[in-house]
Amino acid sequence: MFRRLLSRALTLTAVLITVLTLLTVVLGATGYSDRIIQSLIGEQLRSMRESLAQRIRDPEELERALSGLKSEMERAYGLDRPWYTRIPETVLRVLTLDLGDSRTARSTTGSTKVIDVLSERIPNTVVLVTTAMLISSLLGLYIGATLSKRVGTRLERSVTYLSAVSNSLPSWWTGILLLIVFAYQLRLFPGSGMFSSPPPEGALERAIDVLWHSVLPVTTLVLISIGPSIYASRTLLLNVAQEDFVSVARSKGLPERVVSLRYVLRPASPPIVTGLALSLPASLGGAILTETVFNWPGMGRLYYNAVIMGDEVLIVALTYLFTLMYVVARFILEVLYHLLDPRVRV
Amino acid sequence: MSASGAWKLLTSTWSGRVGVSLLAAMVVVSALVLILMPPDFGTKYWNDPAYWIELPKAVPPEWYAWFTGSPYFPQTELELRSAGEGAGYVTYVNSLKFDYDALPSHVLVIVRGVRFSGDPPTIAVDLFRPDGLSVPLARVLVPPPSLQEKGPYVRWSDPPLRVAPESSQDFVMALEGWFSATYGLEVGRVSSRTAFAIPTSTGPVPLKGEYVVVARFFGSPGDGVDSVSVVLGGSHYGLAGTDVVGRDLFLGLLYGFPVALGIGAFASVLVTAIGTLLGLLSGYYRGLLEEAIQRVADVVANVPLLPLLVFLSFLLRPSILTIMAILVVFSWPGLTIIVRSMVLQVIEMPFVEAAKAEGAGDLRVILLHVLPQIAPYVAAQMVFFVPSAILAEAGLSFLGLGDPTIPTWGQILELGFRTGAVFTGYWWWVIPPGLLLVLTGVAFASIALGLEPLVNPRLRKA
Repeated sequence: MFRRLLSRALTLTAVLITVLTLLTVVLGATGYSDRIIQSLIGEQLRSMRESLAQRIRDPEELERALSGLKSEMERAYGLDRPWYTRIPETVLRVLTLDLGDSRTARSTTGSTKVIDVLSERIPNTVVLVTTAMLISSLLGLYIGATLSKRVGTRLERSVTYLSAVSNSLPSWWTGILLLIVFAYQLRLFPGSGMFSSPPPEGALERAIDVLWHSVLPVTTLVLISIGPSIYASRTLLLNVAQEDFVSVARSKGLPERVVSLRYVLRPASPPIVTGLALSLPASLGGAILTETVFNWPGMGRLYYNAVIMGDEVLIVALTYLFTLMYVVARFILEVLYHLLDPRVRV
Repeated sequence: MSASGAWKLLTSTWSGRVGVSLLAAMVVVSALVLILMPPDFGTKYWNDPAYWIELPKAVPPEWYAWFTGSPYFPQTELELRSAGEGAGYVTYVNSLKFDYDALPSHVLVIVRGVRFSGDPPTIAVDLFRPDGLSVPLARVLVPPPSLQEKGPYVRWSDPPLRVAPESSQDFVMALEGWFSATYGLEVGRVSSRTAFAIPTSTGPVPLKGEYVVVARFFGSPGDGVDSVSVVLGGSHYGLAGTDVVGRDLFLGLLYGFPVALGIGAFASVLVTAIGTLLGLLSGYYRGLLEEAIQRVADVVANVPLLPLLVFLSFLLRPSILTIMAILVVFSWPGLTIIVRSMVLQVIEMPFVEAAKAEGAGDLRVILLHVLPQIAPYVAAQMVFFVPSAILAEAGLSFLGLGDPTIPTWGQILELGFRTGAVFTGYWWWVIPPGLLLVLTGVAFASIALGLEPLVNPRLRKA
């Protein structure tokens, strides 16, 4: 078991490093990283000029000192070498979450450090995505299981059809429809953000406020992910239900509850977990679009803003973090899979 | 299963029939668009605001007025006809029986092709209202020739001159003075549409009756104008309405058909080809090659696609080809992993061993014995992938990273959302493009569902 988990961990680490290398190579080859570093040096020089100007009176000498500092910093940042020699250090830097400063985004405390901004935004996204995924996978499992016992009925066929078709709902469009109907026509739910402004006093009121704001985005994410979930559960349970050992269990006279829980659901659970793992990237991607539509202050919304404003540092950091989150979630599901499936355990 | 068997299976189910007919309809529309619309529609017309200036801005489709019974005025172009000569000028006249409950969205005077050889001519266009007022719509002074220019001179043949009446002080003052003198009321801000209105305490309402537009062309003998006309913007327009630029959304949506199908088909064929080839190779030859391909596939399959798509198209300045290339590069592994495992089972089968024992070469075995076994699955996957590719492009477009030279459904939606169509209630701008995306997805999902028994034989006995 541990060897397999280890090999998965290695693969996922390789994913992380590949993505990072890809990011840095693309940034380097298109000249973006040079520009980032240059603006960084420029900013530091500006602040140094002020402190230096108080000590050095002669303007020519000041310029000489500054240009000396500039070339020193360029060497320190590796700007004097071609971009591809800097790849390993950049990868290492980002890998250790040394993410730099954002040009456009600020945390509530006013910090421009990407790591500060992100630590505020990540929980918002995690709450949104995990809630939606939990709801849609549990609901999907329940509906799928119910359907798998009614194969061939009109209900089963139409729900299966709808769930296959719901795969083609674009998340953002679904969100826009919900906004038009529930936020602007019926005025039942707020149209954007996470809190009312001003946010209400008291912890309980605040929690209710957040819940109220999250209804539409969570519904959107559930709507787009429940179809595949229903479809997969129904198909997998159907496959297991046709196995001989299930017929044997039934003919032994075991109660239907025991049969469906222990003889059908149990063996079908590992592939269902795999399905969950495979739907992760779609959910994370869906979060980018859904947060944009609902102005939800998570990573996705931040990513959209970073793209619109051309904030390279933030884009790199967020792309990396999306991958990291995905890889971590993937690994947790992998462990879960090993716990569920005795065949891989031995 | 043979191709005709697959067809029979597909058309035997309800969902298969729905899918096939939807897809056929979309293919027909795409073919018509490719024949009838210029290929450079995006750059030449769609992205050129001047081209759409005569259309009303952000108005709903015409059938909406028909359904809701809301006040309606159709898009109208009134071409003035030559009506004899006066002292030193030629007159052009036409009249309009105005019996509508809605005001025109805007008024434009269009002058096409002025020809002259000596002094530059002038044109005066006036509107005579049923309540007796005459309003100056336009006073056009043709720019004199430059020193290098040789006569005869031609102005405004393409594009024509378009004059907005409210840009002249005469127009505004004539209306304001008349309204306060005759009706004792102000209309607030005078715009070109108020030339067809009378003020009431609740705002301007249409003044019904016969309107006459007269243009006088003052020029030397031999000078002339190709046409003078007045465009009255509709309160509703066309089959799909217009956006804030005045673009006919119906044309944009139509153009989106071949683009969407093209993106989907192209990306899907490439992904399937690469995925299947690599899967076949790694399943058939085993060994180091297998290990290498499967490791790479494992890594690439775990890369979250959308963030990377966003990142790469942001940096590489998106073109439709880059977007498709990125899609293909990150989408092949799923198929490769599954095809390999299927190949592993197939090559153990007796008929494959028999073929090998008879001395069949690798290529022959792969093409004649292995590939046909996995072909149905591969075909179904190809169908499955089409909508994902279309949706991926639409998602990127929605984030503002689409190819700006080609209008797609995603881009129409993006502009609508960004201009606040959701808040302002321009539903005709955001609902139809999304609906078309869903419809495309439904077509392919239905076909894939109809092919399901082919992929999952267990369902055949169920």
